[in-house]
Amino acid sequence: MIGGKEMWMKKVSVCGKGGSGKSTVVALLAHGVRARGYRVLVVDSDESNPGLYRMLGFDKRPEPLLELVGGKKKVFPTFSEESEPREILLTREEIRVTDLPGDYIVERDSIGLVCIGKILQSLEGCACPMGVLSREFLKRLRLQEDEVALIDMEAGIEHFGRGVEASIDSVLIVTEPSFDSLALAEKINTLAAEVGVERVWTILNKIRSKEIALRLREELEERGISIIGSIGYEPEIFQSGLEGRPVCSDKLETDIGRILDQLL
Amino acid sequence: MCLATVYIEDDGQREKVMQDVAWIEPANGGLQLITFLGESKLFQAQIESIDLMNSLIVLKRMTADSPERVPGDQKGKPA
Repeated sequence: MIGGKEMWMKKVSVCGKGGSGKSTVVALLAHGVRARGYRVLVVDSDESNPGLYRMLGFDKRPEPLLELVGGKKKVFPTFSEESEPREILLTREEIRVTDLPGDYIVERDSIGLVCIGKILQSLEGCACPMGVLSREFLKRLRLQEDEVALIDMEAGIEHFGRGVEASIDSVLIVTEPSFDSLALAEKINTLAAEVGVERVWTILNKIRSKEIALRLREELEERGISIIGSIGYEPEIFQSGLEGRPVCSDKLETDIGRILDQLL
Repeated sequence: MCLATVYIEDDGQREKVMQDVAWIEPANGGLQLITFLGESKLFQAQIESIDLMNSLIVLKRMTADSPERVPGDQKGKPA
């Protein structure tokens, strides 16, 4: 119990169409959740985005958890050469935030960041191992009552096919004003229900006017999708994104606060 | 999903035995299977089928009179 409310939500997946603003929303939510007295673990589960650590105000990215299993290229020879099963952090039944080795988490002011893995070079193969690692890490992650995990998912819906949402409590679908974004929100809403996630909402993002917000709300309601809140278009955020600076804006405190009122 | 889910067939019954299998090699007259996170199991079995579209591998358990069975430690050699 925190602040008199039952702690329903522990692990929140933030997903949506590429470019809809998932990472920006994660950064804004992280600051908002922290301001309410929680410790926040941000899980970078997108194998391609390079700059989430910057958005959160860190000056370096943590080592990818994929390296704990030897990295994508080394993993198979490592296994075949060893006769005894390896004891590694990721094979434990429960992983706590404090168990993570220092190189694999960056932390400041009650916000921590871990990274699953990144595609680093052409022809290196698919990202399936990262999907498995995301699923297993989130499944084993045990959060304390004052901790919340925000997962910045890869764009699109492949993570549902990989079962990453199996241990997720809440799904937030970031939706920008575009037909594709709406269509994908509808798909994600269905997929989340299929894997048993009961708390699924959309966040309207990059909203420039009340008219656009109203139109999006009508479109989403027609599709049977719940809306948790709306984040206005803010030039300060756009500029931060352009320059790779930390994402925060006092002007969006009210928007984020309304979302967190329902989420927490 | 590229990492495989592995089933074994025994007396016409198919049972799921491992998930997220990343490595398979012949060992001790059977097959050594290792998952992405390093869990390792040895099966006295041979490959029945590999479905790469659906990441499914079916093994067939070998019996003492299986003609393919290779006794003893044969790691690195075909079972």
